[in-house]
Amino acid sequence: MLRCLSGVVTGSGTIHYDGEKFNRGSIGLRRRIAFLPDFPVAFPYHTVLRHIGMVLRLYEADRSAVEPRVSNLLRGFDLLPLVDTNISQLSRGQAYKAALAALLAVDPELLLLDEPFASGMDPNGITFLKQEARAAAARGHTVIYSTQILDLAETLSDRVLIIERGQVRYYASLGELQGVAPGHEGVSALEQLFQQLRSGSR
Amino acid sequence: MRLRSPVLERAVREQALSDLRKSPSLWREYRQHRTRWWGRNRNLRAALPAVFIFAVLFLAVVRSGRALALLAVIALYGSGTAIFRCANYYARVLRGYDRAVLITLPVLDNDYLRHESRALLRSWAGAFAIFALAYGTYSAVYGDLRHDLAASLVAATLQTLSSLCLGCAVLAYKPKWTGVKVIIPVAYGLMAVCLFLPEDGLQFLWSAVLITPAGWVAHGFAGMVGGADSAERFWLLPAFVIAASLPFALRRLRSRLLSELAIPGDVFEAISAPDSGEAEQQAPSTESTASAEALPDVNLVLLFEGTDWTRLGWIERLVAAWLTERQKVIAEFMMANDLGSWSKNWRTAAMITVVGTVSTLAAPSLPPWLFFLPMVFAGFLSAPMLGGSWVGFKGPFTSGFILPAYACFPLGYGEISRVMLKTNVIRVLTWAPLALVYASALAHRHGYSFYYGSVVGLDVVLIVLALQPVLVAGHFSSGTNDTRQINWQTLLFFSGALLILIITLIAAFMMFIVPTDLVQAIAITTIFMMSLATWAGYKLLYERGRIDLLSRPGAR
Repeated sequence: MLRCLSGVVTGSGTIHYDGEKFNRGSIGLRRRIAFLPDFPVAFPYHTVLRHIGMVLRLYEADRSAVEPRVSNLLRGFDLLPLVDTNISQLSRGQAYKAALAALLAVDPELLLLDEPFASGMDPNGITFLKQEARAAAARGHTVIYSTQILDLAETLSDRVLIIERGQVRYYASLGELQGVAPGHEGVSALEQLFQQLRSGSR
Repeated sequence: MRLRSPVLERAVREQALSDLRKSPSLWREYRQHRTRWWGRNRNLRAALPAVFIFAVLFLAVVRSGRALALLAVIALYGSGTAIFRCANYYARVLRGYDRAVLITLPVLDNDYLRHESRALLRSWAGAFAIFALAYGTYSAVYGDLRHDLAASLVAATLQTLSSLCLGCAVLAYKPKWTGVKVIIPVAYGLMAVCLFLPEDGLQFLWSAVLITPAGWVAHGFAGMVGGADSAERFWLLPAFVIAASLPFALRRLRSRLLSELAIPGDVFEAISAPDSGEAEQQAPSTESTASAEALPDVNLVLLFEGTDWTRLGWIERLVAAWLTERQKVIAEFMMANDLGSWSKNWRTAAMITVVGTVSTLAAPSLPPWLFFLPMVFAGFLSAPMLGGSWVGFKGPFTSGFILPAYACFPLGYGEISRVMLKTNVIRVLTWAPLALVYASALAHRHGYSFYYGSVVGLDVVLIVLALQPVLVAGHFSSGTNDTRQINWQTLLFFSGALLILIITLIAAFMMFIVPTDLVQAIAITTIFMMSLATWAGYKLLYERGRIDLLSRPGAR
C-alpha cells in the first residue's frame, strides 16, 4: 500500500490527494510526499550531511527554515558525530536514521514509512521518531507507517488499518477499536481484534 | 559435519506440501511465491551462457580444421579456468553469502571450509567433463577415438588435476597478485584470437602455451595422438608431477584460508553493500554518539551547497553550462560519486585512440578486426553508447525486488531524461573527434580514403546521437517490471517498439549502403524520430503507472 501511495507501484484503483488524481507524473504532488522503504535509499559513498543536503535540494526545501530543523534532527537521532561519515560505514540502524532525518527535514505533508520500527534503530532513535511523528501530526501533517508490532501501533496511531493478503480487513480510529475489541489483561485491543480476524470470528 | 540435510529437507517439504494442498488459498499462495527449480540453481544459470559461448567457439575452431588451434584453445581454457575457478572459490570462501550466514551459526571454520571445498570439487568435476569432451573431440576428428580414448581420458585427468593445482598454488602463495585479473581475460581472449591467427602466429601461440601446465598436457596429448612429434608426449611428465603435488597445494590453500578466516573481516558489509568495496571500517560505535549532546552545532552552511562543477573536468563544465540549477541537482543525484568521471574517461579514451590510430596506420599484418577493438573500447569509455552510467537507477534490494533510488524521490521521467540527454549529447560531441580520427585511420588501412573514413565516422556519431532517447528509456526500463507486467498498454508498446526497431535497422542500413546526402538525412531523421517515439511511448507507460518501478534482481 505504501508503495502504491508513493507511486512506486500501481494497482487497479486510483489515488487522490486533496481531490487531485495522483500519478507518477504529478511531481507537484510527489514533492508533498516522502517515502522511506524498509531499506533506506542512500548512496554508500555520500556522507550523512551530503545525503541530507541532496534530499533537501531534490525537494527544493526552503533553505532558511530548514537549517535549525536539520540541526535538531541530527541531535535527536544522535547523528551529530556521524555527519561526515560515509553511509557505507554506518550500521543499518544508523543509515536508516540518516535517511529518515533527511525526509523529516523536508517536513512533507505526508510521510510514508515502511516498517520504521524494524529498521535497526536504537531505542533513542525510536523514541525520537515517535516524538517527531506526533509533532508532525500536530502540525496537520500525516504519517502513515507499516508495522507488525500491534502494541506499538495501538499506542502511537490515531487510526489503524489491518491488511491481510492485500485485502483491507479493518479500518477505524482507536476509539472505535475500543468499542469492538476492548482487550483484556495482557492482550491489547488491537491484538484481540487481530486474533478475531484471523480466526474468522469477525 | 555436513551442512546440508537433503533427507530432512525432503521430508519437511513433503509434509508442508501435503498440508498446503488441503487449503486451496494457501496452495495458491505457495505456487505464486515459490522459486522454481531454474531459479534455485543460480550456478547453473550463470554457467550455461558461458558454456554456450565456449561451445560455439570450440565448434568454430573444430570447423577451422586446424589441429593446433584446437589444442591451443584447450590449453588456454585450462589456464584461464584454473585461475578463474580458484579465484572465485577464494572470494566466495572469504566474502560469500555462505560465510555471512554460517559465521552466525556454531560451525567450525574447518567444517565451513570442507563444505565450500565440495563446491570447488563439483566445479572441477564439470571442468573435467569439458576437458574430456574437448580431447575426445580432438581424437574423433584427428585420430581414432576408440584407439585414443584412454589417452583422452588421461589428458583430461591430468589437465584437471594440474590446472587445479596451478590455481590453488597461485592463490595459496599470491592471493592478491594482480596478474590474476590479467590472466583470465587474456587466456579467454586468446581463445577467440586463435580462430584468426595466421599459421606462423598460431605456431608461436602453440609454443607459448608451454609456459603453463595446461600447455604441457596439450603438447603431451598431441604427441600421443599424432598431432605433433611423438617426443612431445614427454611433456606429460612434468604435468604429472604437478598433478601429483595437488594434495600439497590444496593443503597450502586450506591453511591459508583458515588463517584468513581467523581474522574477523567485513563479510557483512561486503555483502549488504555490494557497491561499497571500500567499506573498510566497522559501523561507528553508538558509544561515540553518546557524547552528542556535548558536541557543538554542526556547521550547516554547506548543506545546500552542491558540487562545485567549475572544479570538475572540462566535459563536466560544458555540461554544467547547459544544465539549469535544478538539472544540476538531478545530475548530482543520478551520478552520485561518479560525477567527474566523464573527463577522466575521455582522457583515457583519447590515449587509446592515439595508440590505436598509430597502430592501425603502422602495424604490420594482423587480423583486421583487431584494429576495431580500441575504437570500440574508447567509444564505450568516452561516449554513452548505451546511455551512460547513472547510479540513480540502482537501488536497494527490498522484499525481493530492487527499488531504483530515483523512484523514492520526486523526480520525473521528463526531468531525468532531459538531464541525461543534455549530458549525453555533450559527451557524444566530445567523443566525435576521436571517432572521426580513428575511423579515418581504419578506412586508410582497409584501402579507402581518409575522407571516406571520416564520413563513416560521422555517420556512427550521428546514429549514437539519434539513439540517445531510446537509450534513456532503456535505463528506466531496466528498473521496472515492464516485461512482466502484461496489460494492453505494455503489449501495445512492445509491439510498436518491435516495429520501430525494424524501421530503425532499415534506416541504419540505408545510411551505409546508399551514402547520398539526401538518403542519409532522411535515414538519420527517421532513426531519431523512432528513438524519440519509443522514449515518448515509454513516458506514457511510466507516468500513467502501467508499470511498477521494481525489478527482479536477475532481470537487470
